[in-house]
Amino acid sequence: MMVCPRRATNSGLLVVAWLLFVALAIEPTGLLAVDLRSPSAGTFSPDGKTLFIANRATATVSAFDLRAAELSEIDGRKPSWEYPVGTEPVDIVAFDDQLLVLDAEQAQLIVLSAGSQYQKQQTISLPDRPVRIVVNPSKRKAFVTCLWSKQLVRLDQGNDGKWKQSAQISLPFCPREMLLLPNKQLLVAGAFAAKLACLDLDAFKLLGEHSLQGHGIGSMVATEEAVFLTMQRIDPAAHSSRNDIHWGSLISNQMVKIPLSSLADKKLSPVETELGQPGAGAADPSAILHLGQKRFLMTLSGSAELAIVEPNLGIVERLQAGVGPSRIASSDRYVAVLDRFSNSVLVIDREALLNDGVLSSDNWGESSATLRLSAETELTTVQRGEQLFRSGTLSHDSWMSCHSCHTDGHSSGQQNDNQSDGGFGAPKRIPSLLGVAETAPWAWTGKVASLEEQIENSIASTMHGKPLEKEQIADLVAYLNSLKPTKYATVNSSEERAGGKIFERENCGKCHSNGIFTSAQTYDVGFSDSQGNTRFNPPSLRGLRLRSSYLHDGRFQDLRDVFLKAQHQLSAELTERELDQLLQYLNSL
Amino acid sequence: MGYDKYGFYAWEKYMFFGFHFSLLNILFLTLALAATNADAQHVGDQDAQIDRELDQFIEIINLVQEHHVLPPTKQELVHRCLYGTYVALKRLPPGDLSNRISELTEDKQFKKLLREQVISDAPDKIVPMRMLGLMRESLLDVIPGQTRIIDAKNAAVGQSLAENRYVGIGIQLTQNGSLATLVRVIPGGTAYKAGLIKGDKILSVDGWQVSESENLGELVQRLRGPEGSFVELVVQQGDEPKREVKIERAVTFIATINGIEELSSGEQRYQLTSDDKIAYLRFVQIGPSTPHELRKIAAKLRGTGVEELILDMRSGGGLLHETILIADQLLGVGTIGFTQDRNGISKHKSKDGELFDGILLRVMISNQSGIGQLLLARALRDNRRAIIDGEFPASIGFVKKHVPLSDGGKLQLATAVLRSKDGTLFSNVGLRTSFDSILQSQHSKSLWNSIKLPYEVAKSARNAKSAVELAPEVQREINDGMSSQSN
Repeated sequence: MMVCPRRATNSGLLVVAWLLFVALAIEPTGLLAVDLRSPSAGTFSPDGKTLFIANRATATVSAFDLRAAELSEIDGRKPSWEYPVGTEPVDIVAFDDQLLVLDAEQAQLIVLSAGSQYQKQQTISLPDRPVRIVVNPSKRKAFVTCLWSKQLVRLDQGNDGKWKQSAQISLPFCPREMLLLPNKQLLVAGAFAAKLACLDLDAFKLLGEHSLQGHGIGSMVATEEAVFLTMQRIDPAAHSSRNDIHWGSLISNQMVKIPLSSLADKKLSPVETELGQPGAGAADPSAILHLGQKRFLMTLSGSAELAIVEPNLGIVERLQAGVGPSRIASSDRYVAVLDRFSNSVLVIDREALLNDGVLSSDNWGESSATLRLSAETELTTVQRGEQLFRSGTLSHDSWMSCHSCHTDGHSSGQQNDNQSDGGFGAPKRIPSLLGVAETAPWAWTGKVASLEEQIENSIASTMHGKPLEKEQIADLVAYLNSLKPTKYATVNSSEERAGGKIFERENCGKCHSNGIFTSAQTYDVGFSDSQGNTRFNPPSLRGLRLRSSYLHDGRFQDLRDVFLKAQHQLSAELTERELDQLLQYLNSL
Repeated sequence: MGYDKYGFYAWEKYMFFGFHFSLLNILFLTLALAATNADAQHVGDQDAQIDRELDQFIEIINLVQEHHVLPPTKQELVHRCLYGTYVALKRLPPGDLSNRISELTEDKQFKKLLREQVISDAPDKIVPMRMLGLMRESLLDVIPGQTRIIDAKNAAVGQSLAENRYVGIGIQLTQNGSLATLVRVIPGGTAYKAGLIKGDKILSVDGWQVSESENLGELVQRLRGPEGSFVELVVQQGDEPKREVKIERAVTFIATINGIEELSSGEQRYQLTSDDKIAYLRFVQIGPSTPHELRKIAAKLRGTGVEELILDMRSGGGLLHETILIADQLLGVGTIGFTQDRNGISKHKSKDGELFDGILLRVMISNQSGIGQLLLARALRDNRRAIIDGEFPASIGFVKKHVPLSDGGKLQLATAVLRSKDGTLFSNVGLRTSFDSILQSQHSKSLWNSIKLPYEVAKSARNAKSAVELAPEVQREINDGMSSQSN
C-alpha cells in the first residue's frame, strides 16, 4: 500500500534514516533524499524486468529492478539508480534499449540509451510544452502532443537509432492524451474540453474531429471493439447547489465507451458509465487500464482511490490509495500506480486484479508491493497547495476538486452556474488560473478583493465542502501564486505589430492594461447577464489563444465574433485586414 | 432574473396514485399532530392574535405587490377577499364597502378596515376567529395561481422530502380498526434491511404498547426521530412468533420514478411487455434525485432491446429547475421553453445528447398532471421528440416561489409564468389526442390494460377505508411543503 506522506513526515528520525540510506543508493545527483519526486510517468522495459519512473519535481529518472519470484521480494525496494534528466520530465517510454523522456519545461525530447549505464544520447527541440509521447514500434515512429502550441509532432528513428522530427500537424485544440488504434489510426484527445482528433498514421493526416459533452479526458484505452476513456462533465444548466452536486447533476465522473466503428462516422455514439454515485463521488478519474473482458482498473485522482469499473455498472470495487494516484504503467505481469504526491509506487500483480473482490480482499497486500523512490517527505507549501487543489475532499462527497474545473490550473473550457454572480440562472465561463495572482480583484463581478476570500467562497458555495484551516488556504494561495501565464507566442511579424497599434488606437489598454492585460475596475461594456449584472471584471488577455470561448457567458466560440458580431468597444468597424492584424496580436499574448 | 429563484410548481392535485400517495402518510400524520399543537398555543390573548393575523394579511398583500407575476392591486385584493368572505357566509357585504376600499392607500388604513370586519358589534356578528379564518382562506383564493401559506415546521419536513433526504425507518402504515399494520416497506430503507415486511403489525415502540384504539399519529410521532438514532419495535406477522427489532433512523431514499410494479426484491420492473420492447416509467414527482434516477434507469435499459418508452405523467408535480434538467436529458439541441417574470424572460435550452437516443417516447398526461409535467410534455412534443397521449388542460402555467414571511413561514406565490417553445403563453394549448392512439399503434390492447392497472389500483386504494384519513387542509399544507427547495 502507498503510504500517506502526511503520516510519514511525523517522524524526523525516520527521515534522517532514509536520508542516509537513500544517499547511498543514489549516485550522481546530489539530490536531497527527502525531496518529493512527484512521479509523473512510468514505463516498463521491453523485457518487463525494469520499471523506469520519470520524476517531475526533481527532474530525474529512477529505475527499479523488478526481478523476483514473488512480489513480496520487491516490497520496499529502492531504485537501482536515479539520474537527472532535463528540467521537468512529464512522460517516458522505453523502446528497445532507449528511454524517450519528454521535458515539458524546456520543450525537448531527451533520448537516453542503455550501455553500461543509461546515458543521454540525443536532445530534440519540440514546440511549446510537449506532454505525451507514444511509440509505434513496428514503424519506429514516435508521436508527441504539445499542449500550448497545439501541435502533434511525428519523429522517425533512423537506422543509427537516432530520432528526427519528420512531420508536424496543427490541431484545433490543446492536445494531451494519445491512443494508437489497431486500424493504423491515432486518436488524440484535448487536454481541456473533450475533443478528439482521429489521424491516419501512414499519411499523417487529420481524418476527423469529434466533440464529446465533457472535459478533462484523463486517459484512453482500446479494446477490440471500442475506445474507453475517463472524463468529467459539468452541466451548465445545473446549479452549484448541494442538491445538484449530491445527485450527480452538476458534475459527473465518467467512463465513456466509444465504439471503434463510430469513429469514422460524423457523429460518435458515446455510451457513458457514471462513476460517482450519491454519497460517493469519484472526482477526477484519470488513468485507465483494461484488465480483460469487462474489467477496467482506474485511478480516481481527486477522491484518491483505485477503482475496478465495469461498463454500465460503474464502480464495482474501490480502495483508498495514497493521496493523488494519477497514472498507471503496466507490463504483462505488473501494474504500477504513480501518485504525484508520494514517493511510493504501488506495484500490483496484474492477474490478481482479475479476481472479484480483489481491492477489498484481506490478501490484497500479497498481491502488491511498494517501491520507494525515496523516503516519504514533507511537502513544500506550494506542493501542499497543489495537493489541496487536486483533492476531492474539498467538495461535498468528493464529487470534484478545484482541478476538476480549473484543469491543471488552466480552465476546462466549460461553463458553471454558481452563486458568485449573485445567484443561479446565469452560467459563467470557468476562468483560467494561470497568472491569477496578478489579476485582483476576482470573480466575474470583481467583488472579491483577496484570493483567500475567493477560495473560501468557491469551497463553500460552489463545491459545498467543509471550511478549510487558515494554513490550508495559505497553501492554496501559494499554489495559485505559482501558476504563471503561458509564454508569449509572438512571431514579431509586421502584421502582429500592426495589430498592437490597433490595440493602442482603440484604447483596449484602458481596461486590459499592459502587463497582465486586465485592470482592477469593473466596466459596463454592454454584455449584461440574466442575473441583472452589467459591470464585469475584464479578464486578463494573457493566453487568450488557449481559450475556447469568450465573454462571461462564453457566447462566442470564435474570437473574431467578439469584434465582428459584438463590435466590442470599437470606435469604428475594423476592415477585414485590421481585424486579422488585431487577432494576430491578441493571439500572441 | 434567474429562474432558479422560483420554487416549484404547486402540486395541484397531486399524489393521485396509490403507492406514493400512501408513502407520505407518515408525514401527513406527523404534520397533523404539529397542527394540533399549534392550535393549543393559539388559545391565548385573542386580541393580540387578531392583530398578528391582520399584520400578516397586510404583509401578504404587500408581498403580492412585490413578487407576484400578475399582481392585483391592494384594493382589488382586499375587496375580492372580503366579498369572497361574505359570500361564504351567505351574506351581503356592507353597501359602502367598495367605495371605502377604493379610497384606502396606507397599510394602517387597510388594517383598520379589515379589523372592523373581524370585530363587529352587530347582533348577528360572526365569531372573530371564524371570520379571520374565512378571510384568510378567501385572500389566498383571490391571489391568482394557488397561493399557500406554509408554516415553518411543515416547510422543514416538506423540504427534506422534496430533497429526498427524508429521515425515518422507511415504512408506510395503516390502521383499519385493528393494530397498526405495515402496508409498505421502502426498499433500501433501514426497516427493509432489518427484515420488516408488509403485513407486520406493530405491537410496541420503545416499550410503549400500541393498542387497537390508539391514535396512529402518536405512533408515528414515536417512530420519528433524528438521523442516527434507534427505535426498538416488537412486530408480528399474522400468528407467527413476535419479533423484536432495533432499527436505525436514516435518510431513506424514496424513488420519484417508478416502473410498472415493484418486484419482491424491491427493484422496479420497467419492461411492460414480455418481449421487453416497451418500457414504462411513472413520474411520481420531479425533484433533485429524479435526473439521477433517470440516468440509472437509462443504464439499466441499455442493451435490453427496448424500442419504446412510456413516460406516465398523468399525475404528480415537480420543481422547475429539475424539470428543465429532465427535459435537457431527454432532448437533443432545442428549446425547452421560457419562464417570464416581472423582470423579463429566461430561455431554457437543451444541449446535445439524449438519454434515450433512438427510443420512441410516449408521454401520458391528464388533467391531473402538474404544470412541470405539462411543460416537459409540451417541450418533448414541440421538439418532435415524443408522442403525447392525453389532453393539455387550459390553465396558465404559473411558476411558484416561496417568499419568506416574517413569522418564519413561507408564502407560496406565483412569480412567473411559462411560455412554450414558440413563445406562446403556456395555457389553453388545446392539443387533443387520446389514450386511444395507443390502441391504434402497433401495440395491442393488452398493453393499454396493463398501463391502466396501477391507475385503477391507486384510485381504489385511495377510496378504501384502510387509507389514512387526513384533514384536507393538512394534506394541502404538505403539498406546499413538498414544493419547497433550498439552495
